[in-house]
Amino acid sequence: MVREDEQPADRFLALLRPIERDLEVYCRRLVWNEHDFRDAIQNAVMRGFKAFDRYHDDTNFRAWMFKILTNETFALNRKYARAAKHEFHLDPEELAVLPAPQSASAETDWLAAPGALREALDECLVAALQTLTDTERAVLLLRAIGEFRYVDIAESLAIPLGSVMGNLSRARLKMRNALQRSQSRTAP
Amino acid sequence: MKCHEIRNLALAYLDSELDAKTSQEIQLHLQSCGECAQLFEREEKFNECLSKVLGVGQPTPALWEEIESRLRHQHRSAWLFPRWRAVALGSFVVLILAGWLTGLIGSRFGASSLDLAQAVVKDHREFLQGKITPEFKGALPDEVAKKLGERLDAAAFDKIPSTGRFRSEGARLCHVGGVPVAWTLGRYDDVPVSVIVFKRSELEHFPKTERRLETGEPIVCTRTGHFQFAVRFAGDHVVCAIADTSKQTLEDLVRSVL
Repeated sequence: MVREDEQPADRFLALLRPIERDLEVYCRRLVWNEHDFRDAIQNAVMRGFKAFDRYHDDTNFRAWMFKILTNETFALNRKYARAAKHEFHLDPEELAVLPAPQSASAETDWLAAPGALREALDECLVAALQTLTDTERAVLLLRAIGEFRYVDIAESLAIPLGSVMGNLSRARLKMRNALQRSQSRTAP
Repeated sequence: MKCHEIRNLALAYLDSELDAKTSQEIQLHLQSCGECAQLFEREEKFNECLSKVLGVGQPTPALWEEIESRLRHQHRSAWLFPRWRAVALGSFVVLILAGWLTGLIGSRFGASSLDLAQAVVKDHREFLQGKITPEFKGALPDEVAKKLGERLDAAAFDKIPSTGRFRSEGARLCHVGGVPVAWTLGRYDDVPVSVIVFKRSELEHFPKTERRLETGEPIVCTRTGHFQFAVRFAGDHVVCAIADTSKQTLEDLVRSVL
């Protein structure tokens, strides 16, 4: 039998359990210091639970927890003075200056072999992610892991929509370049 | 639009973030420009691979057990606090979180690119182009029933919107991502709509959608290109619909499937 005083905890945990994996994977990738991810997750969950009596059924719990976790992780990252100081805001009309996809000849053969990409990423993923600012990394991960739309990411990070696009574009380009450099170093 | 303009929009196009008109312009350009089409294809593959690899990882059971334990302990402790302390603590938390919550409540979060939506959008486009047509109208014919097997039941074909604004043009047996589905083609007012129904046990083939539905959202919606997509559980079935219409309309339509 569920005790009456445990009902909010049970309800909160029932919503939390299905997203635990995504939250942890997201946080591990977002946090600058790998030892901080446990603190970030614990703080975020506790904050979420404390505010849970104000949570409404029509609020998206997943998005709500991702936002709290992002804020917690940013707070921890600031300890390392590596917060996103270099973010610039991009208006939609400035889209024209965004980096376009590179020419096909510059591509490597990972696209034909996702397994090879995975292997390369295992080795240099952390290093490649370290080349991104906090905001670039959060935007990239909220899209890739959280699968949120640009407008939702903009709300979550309190940045303009154009800035989401700019950060995402730069993040993908930096990741691509870092991976290409890594592959050229490891190529026989 | 010229090649360089098209390429600058590659990211937003591939993330289904552009309006319908621009998307269509790009689509037309890609049909006639092999070089851009190739670049877009490679960009899409790279993004897919990157998302896949970034998403790899398993939760740490010990961490989550510890969190659960802390959370339950904290909740019990809070319950035992003297009333004035609880009130004081509550006021403090309210003050700290008030700013956040104001912005959070009513948040428009929620729509995302779902694997199931991506799987059905291509066939829906073919329906609009007249490449996919109904196999039958009315009762399920014996020859179709024989093809069903154990993975799809005849009841799936009975699950159609009950609202009077929906008019069925017929149905057919299809496969979406290898899953057999009952595909009803129809119109809501004058807007072409695809209603897709399959067994709930097949949802494991669409893990992203499964995860979202299991978080307790009654109806999960997303946009794919200029189409709106909505999905929900209906008993032992999963019912979804896709159309070039508003989110509210599609939610009402999906909700009317009994």
